[in-house]
Amino acid sequence: MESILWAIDLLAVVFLCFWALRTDSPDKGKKKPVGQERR
Amino acid sequence: MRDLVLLAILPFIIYTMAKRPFIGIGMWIWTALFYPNAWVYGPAGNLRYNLLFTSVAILSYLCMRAKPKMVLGVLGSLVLLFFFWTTMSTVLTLAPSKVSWDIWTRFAKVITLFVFVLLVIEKKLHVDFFLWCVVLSVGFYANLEALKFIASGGGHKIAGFPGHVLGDRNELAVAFAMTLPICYYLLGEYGKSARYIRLALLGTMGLLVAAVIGTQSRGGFVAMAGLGAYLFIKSNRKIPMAILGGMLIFGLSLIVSDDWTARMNSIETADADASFMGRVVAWKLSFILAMQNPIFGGGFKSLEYFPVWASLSRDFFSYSWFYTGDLLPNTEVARAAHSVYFQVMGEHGFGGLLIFLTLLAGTFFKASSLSRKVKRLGGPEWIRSVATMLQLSLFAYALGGAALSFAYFELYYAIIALIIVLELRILPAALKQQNQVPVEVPLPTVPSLARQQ
Repeated sequence: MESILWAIDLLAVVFLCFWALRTDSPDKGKKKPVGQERR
Repeated sequence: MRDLVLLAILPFIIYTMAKRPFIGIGMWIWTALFYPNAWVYGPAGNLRYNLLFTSVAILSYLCMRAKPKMVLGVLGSLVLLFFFWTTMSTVLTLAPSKVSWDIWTRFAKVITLFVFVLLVIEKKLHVDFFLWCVVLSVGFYANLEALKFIASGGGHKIAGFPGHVLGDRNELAVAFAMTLPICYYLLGEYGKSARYIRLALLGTMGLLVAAVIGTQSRGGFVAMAGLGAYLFIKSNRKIPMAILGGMLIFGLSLIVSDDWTARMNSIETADADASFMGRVVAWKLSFILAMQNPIFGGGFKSLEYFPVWASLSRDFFSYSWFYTGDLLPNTEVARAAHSVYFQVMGEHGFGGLLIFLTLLAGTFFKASSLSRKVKRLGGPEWIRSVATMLQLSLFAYALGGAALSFAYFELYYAIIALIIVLELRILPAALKQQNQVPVEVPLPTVPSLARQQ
């Protein structure tokens, strides 16, 4: 059980990294300017 | 099997880190707090993840095209001044030179992370990513251990990994308490976007509370109770919070053992508790150490060096106003200071303590003023939210750290760096952007032009 949760956490980390990379892409940046992402 | 999973995901993580320096900085704190080596037993355990991630993060920054301008401010300067002070105290250390320089090296890594946060983090996504990394390291460990604690009916005693920065259960408890407000912030920002994120964060918050209890740390419990009270005072939703808190206390009361209750009750009678008074003795010896070396103190780990401890013990009966009960210093083994304040006082003198306290109080009040400034200037709401929650994390650290040697904790310095970046880089950029947003004004109709066409 511990190993499964541990693996899920690692996968969540990888997902987070790719999500951040995708969200930070220049195209996304144009849509959401600095500091304006959420008001 | 764990080795395979870790080695399989490693190239993907390194790829994203190389592409974006802010991912590198986030993974830097993740690996420092998660301690991947402790989870694997095979060949993957031989890799130095911290060194690997740090190197990739630094290289990624060096290759970055448009590097943001470095922001430091008064708080950043204070951190660097404190580091300089610790360097001087290490040069003049009373402890074995190798031991002191070893701790100095570790602290230098913490300061390097601090500097890189200042260099790289420049927008909301970066801040959020960094905080997610904290949750996926400390929060994950809390989840896992709290589940064991609950499944064992309160029998499992939560502890950290030996050799880790959070190896001691008291330090672990304070780190858990510091992570709670971070989860609360992320819940507000991302909880509405997906149900599973909301549930995961709410679950993590509940399990963080259970994990603090599971460590049986009185310092952690005091930090969490203080945090709860502070959050309650600051919250606009007092009634739902009181109901949730009551439910949580009721649920946990069914789990905690008599041993735990007896241990927490000893907080009220601390002056009669040998364990607590043992700490007070260490505090007094730290104070004597600072009195003998008022400017730079005794250096890292000087109090824990037995010849220094024994020498200080000879002056134990001076400063009789410093109450220590009936307890005397241990005559066989030296002990740690068991308080961030006395630790800094003894190791870096009154000069070092002054910088440390100014830094702590300065960051705490800076977070408040930042929150007010955002409100006044109509800046992004998320900056207010994150500043308030980071302030709460600092509050938990200041309270919990009063009873444990935890002055050089990565997360504390990272939070200071985040507050600096929020105030000096992100808020001005956001306000500038706001002012530059073109207002849509309908074009005037010129009859003459219309006629010409």
